[in-house]
Amino acid sequence: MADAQYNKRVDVLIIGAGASGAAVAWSLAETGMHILCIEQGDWVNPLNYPSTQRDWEMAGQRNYAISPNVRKLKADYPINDEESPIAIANFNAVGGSTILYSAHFPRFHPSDFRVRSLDGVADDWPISYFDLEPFFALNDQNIGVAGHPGDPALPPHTPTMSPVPLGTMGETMARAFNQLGWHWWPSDTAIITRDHEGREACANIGSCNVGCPKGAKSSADVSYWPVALRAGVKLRTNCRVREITVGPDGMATGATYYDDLGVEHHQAAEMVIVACNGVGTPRLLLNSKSPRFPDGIANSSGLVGKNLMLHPWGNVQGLFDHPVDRFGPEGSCMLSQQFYETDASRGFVRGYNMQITRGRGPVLTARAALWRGELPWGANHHTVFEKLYNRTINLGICVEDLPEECNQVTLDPKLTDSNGIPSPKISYRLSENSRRMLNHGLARGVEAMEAAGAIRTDTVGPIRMAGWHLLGTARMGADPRTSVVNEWGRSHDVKNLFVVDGSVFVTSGGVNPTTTIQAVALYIADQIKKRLANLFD
Amino acid sequence: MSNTPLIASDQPLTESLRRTLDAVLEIIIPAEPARGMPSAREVAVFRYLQDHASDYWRLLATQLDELDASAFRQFAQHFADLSLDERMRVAHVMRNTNPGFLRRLALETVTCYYQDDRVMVAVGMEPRPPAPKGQEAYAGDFSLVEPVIARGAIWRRTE
Repeated sequence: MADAQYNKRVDVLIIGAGASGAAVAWSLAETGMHILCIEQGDWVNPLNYPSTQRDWEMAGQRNYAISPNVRKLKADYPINDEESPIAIANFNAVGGSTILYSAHFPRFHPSDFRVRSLDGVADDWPISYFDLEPFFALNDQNIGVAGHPGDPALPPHTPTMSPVPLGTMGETMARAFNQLGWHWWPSDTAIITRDHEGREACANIGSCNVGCPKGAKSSADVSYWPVALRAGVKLRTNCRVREITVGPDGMATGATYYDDLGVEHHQAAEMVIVACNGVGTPRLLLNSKSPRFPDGIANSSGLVGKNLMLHPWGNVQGLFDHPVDRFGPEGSCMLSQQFYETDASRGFVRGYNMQITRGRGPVLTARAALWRGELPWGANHHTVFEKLYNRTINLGICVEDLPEECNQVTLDPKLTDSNGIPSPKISYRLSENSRRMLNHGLARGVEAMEAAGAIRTDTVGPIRMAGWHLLGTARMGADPRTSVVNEWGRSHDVKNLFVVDGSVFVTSGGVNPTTTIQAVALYIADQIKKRLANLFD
Repeated sequence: MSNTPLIASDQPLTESLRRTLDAVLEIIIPAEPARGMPSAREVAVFRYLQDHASDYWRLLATQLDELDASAFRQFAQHFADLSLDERMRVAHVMRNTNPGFLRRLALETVTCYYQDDRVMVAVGMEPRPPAPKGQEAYAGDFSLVEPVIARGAIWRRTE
């Protein structure tokens, strides 16, 4: 196909087919505009997911590892995260990192949008929980979210289907939280527990974090994309964008990208929407240099790449003297938000989420125990293994990370991807507030495990390989001097350029962000639709 | 004692090194018939190493040779000819001297072992991948939320 025809001008060019790009594509499809999404990864074939193989536990450590620096797949770009105690996790494919997420789907709280007003730190968002509330609900309906209505830690909302199993593991922790008088709740989960929009209900395959071969986990490739494609959106895979281009008037004209064979193309567009999340988006914006924007596009504030928030993560593992069930979604049956809201007596501001997760399978149980020197050679091997396998419960601690300009994504001066595009470099450190919060969470986690009857607890945090949540690097705000995009996602500098992913977050909340990312993306898409007549004014 | 060099064929270990390997596998994970557990010698560790640890053969051969030499020094017999107890004593000395000694073999062994059909059944699993069948899961008692509800809303008002 001739390049001119192949790259015929479109109305909307979306860069990135993950959680936010998919949601925006779905929402804008009803306008009838010509919409094209470019994605550097490919479709993932569910038949290739590790859980379809006998060595699923080890297979998940290779091509489905959370670090692109470990996977090194063609779609991946290397990330220099040596100057960060937390390594970056992502996945590059249609569906993005939702391919590997646990589908733990708690919403941000109303207070998360008002941290300056309430606690005197960071900044308030220019929008509120209640602005997003209809879009949380819309997103839940679109993708199918399981849960238990009535959570007293949030304003009332009703998940669209019954929750995933608590199992004896969840019951064990529920009784412990009740004994302590602490909040807990069956998690909202982006996993369908009944058939939904042509997808079959969860069968408790259990290895959600390396892809769901059944399609019951609501990753963007199986939830939003089939509907968006049917509505006319075009999706071009295995194409990596190098830069957003601008015309003499300072407006975006499209994007230059490389196809699967490394051939350079230019895709012209009336408007460009960036949806590459908190590391990929600033990388692209910073790489989009021109005489008009020598420091990268949309960067007159100098804040592109700054204020990176990663959610420092801790884990408490409890070992029990009796079996606890392993079967059910591995990372999403319940949470506790007892320590989510600020209490100054704790020695830090803001708070954290506790997420209960299941223990490992037999191979990873044995390998970890052997590595620790706990699983012996010889006759005692089986006795020790029996005391370890199917007897652990994990409690993850997701710490709210406050924005700091020194935590940032820049361009690495040497490292590039396979197309020669400069790679991102991460410079990040934990604040004293985060460290105190994490220590508090680890201590409370031990308390919860002991209340549950654990005979031993092991704590770790911050965990290095836990940089799943990439937020804050193109923040939204009303003031162009202190933000990159306005309150509805449009660049202050380039009026036909939008950002819709986690990089627009002003603060990070203390929970897994994907439901909020998708609610923000749907909100911005709604704003675009309402303003079509004068969108670029 | 075996000082036979690696042979230039598709066999990564000589016959004598294979015997030593089998003898080590038997002490890493011995059989326990009462639990239905085979020994690691009975599962396909060698094949697993061929498929997943081809970069390990040279070091493994060296360490198996060292083990056999140590057996000869202590008992004047090949490692493979010793009793289980004697083999454990020899291996214990080597591992005490060098904590990394045969560590990778042990890791690869448990990785292979806990994927074996007999072992999976013995630990309470069906010998199959998780997908597509999945598992029956116990839903749990959701009435446990009642005390949480009784304490009332805890989210912070912003308006």
